[in-house]
Amino acid sequence: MHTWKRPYSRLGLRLLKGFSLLFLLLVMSGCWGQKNIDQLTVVAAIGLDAAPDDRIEMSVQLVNPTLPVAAGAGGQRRPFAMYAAEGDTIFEAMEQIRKQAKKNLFFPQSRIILIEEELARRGIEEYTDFFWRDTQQNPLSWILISKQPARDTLQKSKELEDVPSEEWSDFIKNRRGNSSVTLELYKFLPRLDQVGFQAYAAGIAPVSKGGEETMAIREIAVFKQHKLVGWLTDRQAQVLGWLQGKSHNGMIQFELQDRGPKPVVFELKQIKVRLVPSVYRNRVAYRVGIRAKAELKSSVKSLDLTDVQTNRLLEKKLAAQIRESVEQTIERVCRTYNSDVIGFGEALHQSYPRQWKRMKKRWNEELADLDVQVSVSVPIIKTGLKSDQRGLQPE
Amino acid sequence: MKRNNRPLQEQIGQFKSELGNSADLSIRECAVGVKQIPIAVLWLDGIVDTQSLNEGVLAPLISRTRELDVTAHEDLYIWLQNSVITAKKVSHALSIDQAITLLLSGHSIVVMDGCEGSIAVETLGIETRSIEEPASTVVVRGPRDGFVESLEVNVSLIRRRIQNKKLRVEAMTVGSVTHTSILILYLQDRAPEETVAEVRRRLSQIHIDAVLESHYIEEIIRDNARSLFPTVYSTERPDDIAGGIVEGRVALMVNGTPFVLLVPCTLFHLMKTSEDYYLAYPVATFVRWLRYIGLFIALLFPSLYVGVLMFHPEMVPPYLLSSILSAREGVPFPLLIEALLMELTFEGLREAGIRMPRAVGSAISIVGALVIGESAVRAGIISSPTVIIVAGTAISSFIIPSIDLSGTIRLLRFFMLICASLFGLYGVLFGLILIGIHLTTLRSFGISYLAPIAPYKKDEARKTLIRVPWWTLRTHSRRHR
Amino acid sequence: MKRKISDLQFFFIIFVSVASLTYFSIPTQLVPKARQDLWLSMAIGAAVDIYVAYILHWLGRKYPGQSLIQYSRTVLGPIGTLFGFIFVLFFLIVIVSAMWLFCKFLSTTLMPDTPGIIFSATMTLATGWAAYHGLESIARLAQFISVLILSASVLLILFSIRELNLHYLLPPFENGVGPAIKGAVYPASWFGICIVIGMLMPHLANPKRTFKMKASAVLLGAFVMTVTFLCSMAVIGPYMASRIDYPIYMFSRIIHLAFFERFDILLMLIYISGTFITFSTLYYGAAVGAAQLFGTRTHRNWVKAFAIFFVASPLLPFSNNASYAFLFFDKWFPLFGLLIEGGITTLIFVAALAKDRIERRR
Repeated sequence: MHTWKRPYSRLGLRLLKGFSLLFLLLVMSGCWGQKNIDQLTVVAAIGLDAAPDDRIEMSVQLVNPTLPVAAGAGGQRRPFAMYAAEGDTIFEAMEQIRKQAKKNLFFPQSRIILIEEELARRGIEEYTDFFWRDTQQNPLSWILISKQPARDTLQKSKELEDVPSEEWSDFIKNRRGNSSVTLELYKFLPRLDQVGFQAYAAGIAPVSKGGEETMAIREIAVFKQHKLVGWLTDRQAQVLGWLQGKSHNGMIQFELQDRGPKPVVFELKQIKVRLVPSVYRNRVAYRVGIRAKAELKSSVKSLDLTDVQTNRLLEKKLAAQIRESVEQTIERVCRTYNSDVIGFGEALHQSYPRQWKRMKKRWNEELADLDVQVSVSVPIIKTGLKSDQRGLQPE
Repeated sequence: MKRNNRPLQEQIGQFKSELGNSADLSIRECAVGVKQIPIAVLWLDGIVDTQSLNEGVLAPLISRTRELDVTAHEDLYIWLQNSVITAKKVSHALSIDQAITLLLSGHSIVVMDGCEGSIAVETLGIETRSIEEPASTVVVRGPRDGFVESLEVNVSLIRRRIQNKKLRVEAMTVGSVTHTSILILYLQDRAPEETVAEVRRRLSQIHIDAVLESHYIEEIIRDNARSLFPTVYSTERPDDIAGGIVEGRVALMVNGTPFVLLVPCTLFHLMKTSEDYYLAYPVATFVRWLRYIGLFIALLFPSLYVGVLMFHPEMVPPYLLSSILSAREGVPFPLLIEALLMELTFEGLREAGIRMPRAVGSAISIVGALVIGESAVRAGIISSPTVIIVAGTAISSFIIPSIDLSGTIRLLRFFMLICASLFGLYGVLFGLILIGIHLTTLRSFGISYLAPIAPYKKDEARKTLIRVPWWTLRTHSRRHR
Repeated sequence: MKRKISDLQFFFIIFVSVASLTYFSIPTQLVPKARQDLWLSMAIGAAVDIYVAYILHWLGRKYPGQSLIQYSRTVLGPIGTLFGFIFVLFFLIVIVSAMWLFCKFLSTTLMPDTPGIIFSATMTLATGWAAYHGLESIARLAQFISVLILSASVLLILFSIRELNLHYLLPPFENGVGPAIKGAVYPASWFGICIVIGMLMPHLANPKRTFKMKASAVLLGAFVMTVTFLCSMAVIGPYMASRIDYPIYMFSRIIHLAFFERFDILLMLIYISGTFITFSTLYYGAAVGAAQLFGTRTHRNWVKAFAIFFVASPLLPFSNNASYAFLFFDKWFPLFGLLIEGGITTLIFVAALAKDRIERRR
């Protein structure tokens, strides 16, 4: 009589337990670690400005989520918004921003970190720790140094794309024909601490075009430890890019004399740079070898490239031009700014660790008198569609 | 035959009362032999084939015994049985209970005056459906005959495919009230002896009262009763069953249902169809892989969506994230509730679609999906990515060939959804691991559920993952375990 | 009925255990100390492990059908029982430490707001259930998971080729061979978890090939992980690698597979499933060992008994004190680990050898 009752009631009890657990789960779901995506705002760029009294001003460029045009979005909303706040530390500034934006900031997809030049000159040592520790930061964000306050750069730029930092990061990622190269966060941060391999970053500055401002990414800022010490011109920036192995293309222009200076432009492709240290009697010397293939892009003066002499002349001039650029850049970097951005120290460390250990402490002084030899080998490979031949009858 | 003095009428009366004076009990009394010994033939209308009754029983009894002069009842019996009755199957029924059992299964009972016992003649003739295309599966290429409800016809469909003397057919009866007949079919030299013995043992332990469909048996004889996963394969197609029997598996036919069971069954059997073998092997391999992917999508799609968006939005490419976020603006429900709502709505639509008459059914599903979904998105109740997710899941769940497995996946999908909402992708992994552990402990009649992948047997695994072409298969010594 | 696992399944279990342990536990200690010479540490660690594997293989063949606990009792009598007890305790401590590391890792990186106890509770539940059902279940899952781990690691390495900066791996041995050798204690002690094969050997279908399988699995696991470590150093540079707590994680964050940006989460999930196998195997070994020590018939009750310890692992006292934790993993764990894995097993081995010789002389 009792035997059949028990299994049913046990089953009933089990079902009740199961359902209440299920209900609890549904209600509680996401107690832990859930990111409420309705409250989420994607941060596209971070800006750091210098504020008076040794404080820092942080600004963020937030993306306003919009449907792509194909899905029938209007153009009515602002594609991005900018918020800024001051604080003693980055964290404090972030809290202030959160209070303004009233949303959670979502950092992992940020693309650019803008540092204002003034702040960089003051030194960013106090703020790097935040970027080391925070797991939410995107190690792949690019560093740019902004000539005007970062806040303004983030606010006022009008680019082709909706969100300006997208356009900037796409530009940087696409390395072809770029003269300004810059580092990602994960490469930038450790270099701030190392002596043999200093950090650098590209600059971004506004260029006015009849009332509207767009941003141009040009020049490169050189850092010594945590401080910005100077700028490299576009041409020097290009050379730095080659030396770092970041860009493998470039344009070289020089002039030929023919009733006045006539510019000749070459495009260099497949640029390979080798930095070889050698130690001789406790003295370190470097050999920088550059190899590339040159393509004639345009020439105002008419040239006859079938002539061996002309070719040789051109190549010599080209090589000389390149060598001069490189030497000038190295001089600027090592002597004027006294910062080993190119990585001579690291090269020494990798090949001759013992020497490096000895020289490490005085490296910056060593750098000023560094013995560097540059050798260039650039054959002219292509000349485009136009055939340059003397002996063609003019029409 | 024992002789007793029971008059014919008494015996007839006994039959009638046992059956409660059933309206479909028919009695034909006649007289045999010169001496005109009264005998009676009893049968149940409707389950008896009138023609064989007439030709095999009544006609010979009446017409051919006219000149015969037989007195001894023993001789009469034997003589009737052996020489007069021309129907195909004749047997003794010693007691009245046996006789009634046989009567209920379509036999005609011949009772004789003054004799204990009766002769039972098999005259079964039930109206049965003609062999037609199976309704539960759509056949693209391959034979289009399907099983019917009659055991004989079903056995014939197998016999004509496997004309081998080693094909064994064993009969059993289950169901204390319904006395349903069951047939066990296997090839003696291919099916492992332990499996067959195990099948017999489990069938003999069935103690329920009614067996109306093969699923009743399926639930009782399966290995792990509490598992959600099906461990018995069922199908309406004879070529499926024949293929399985040739592989060395055991088929179970239940009277009254066209769905025939096949054991043992692994997860990979459930993902195969016999049509794989009728298509070209590259295409078949591609389709097979598509099914596996479909299985995972059906299980994981909603949970991945919820898990990624709620816990790891950084995994989504930025533009996509932007458009999802904007699509979700204004939606009142949190993501989990929204996903659950859509899933349940879809399940409801699906159920409703089954019961709709054909003409209306397809319209409802299209209407439901498009119009309701579209309007709901417009009204801002749900967001369009959710609709896409749910639709994708639904389509993938149809890719799974086995209905049972598909049902299991549908249920597990909700479990995974809850795991995802609690712990994100870690929760999805956790849920998958739990399901994985469960699968590795499942067995089906001695074979582990995940064979041949785990434990790994190279040849079998190769055949499961890729549909190997015919010229490498079907060798004489092939043995399937 | 003892169900046997095949040697391939055994291979997969060991491989998965080695690979996932290495992902979670070793980089934090090893990379800052050995830096670009870590391949040497890994090699030495693997060699130590192979030595231990050989000992266990010999012992397992000498006393077929007996597990580590059982034959240590046979060889050394009451001391053997003590050793057996130490072994079981050791397994438990390993699981608790590894669980602690695991919870900390996940709490820091994958799901920042989730308390660690969630991870330990869920993992204990899953591994306990697997251990409850026995080795076969674990082995079958290991087959799937090892394929995943292998392909994920290979993909990671392949896709990092573009970003590789092999110069970072120079100069070799800049501080001499010392740091690499000293650093070898970390991989050696963690690989040595594989003395759990002493518990598994009775279940192998083919005990003769134990050594071969174990050695090749350890080698493969160590190799794959070493290449991963080296690639990560080549990408993020040794300076950063030694200053970040979880360099491999940072490495996987930087690499992206075409459009798929956050490979690190996927990789982490795959390694979590590998950790599941490791934990289940250890759990099973501990439970069976306890059952054999105390003479219970089945290991299942022990599975339930131990569960509470594992769930509580992130809550251990002193565990949140960074200096204690560091001390533990830096010094105590490797030391005691090696002592137990290498030392005690060698003792048993020597004793068994001696016993064997004595018996032969009679």
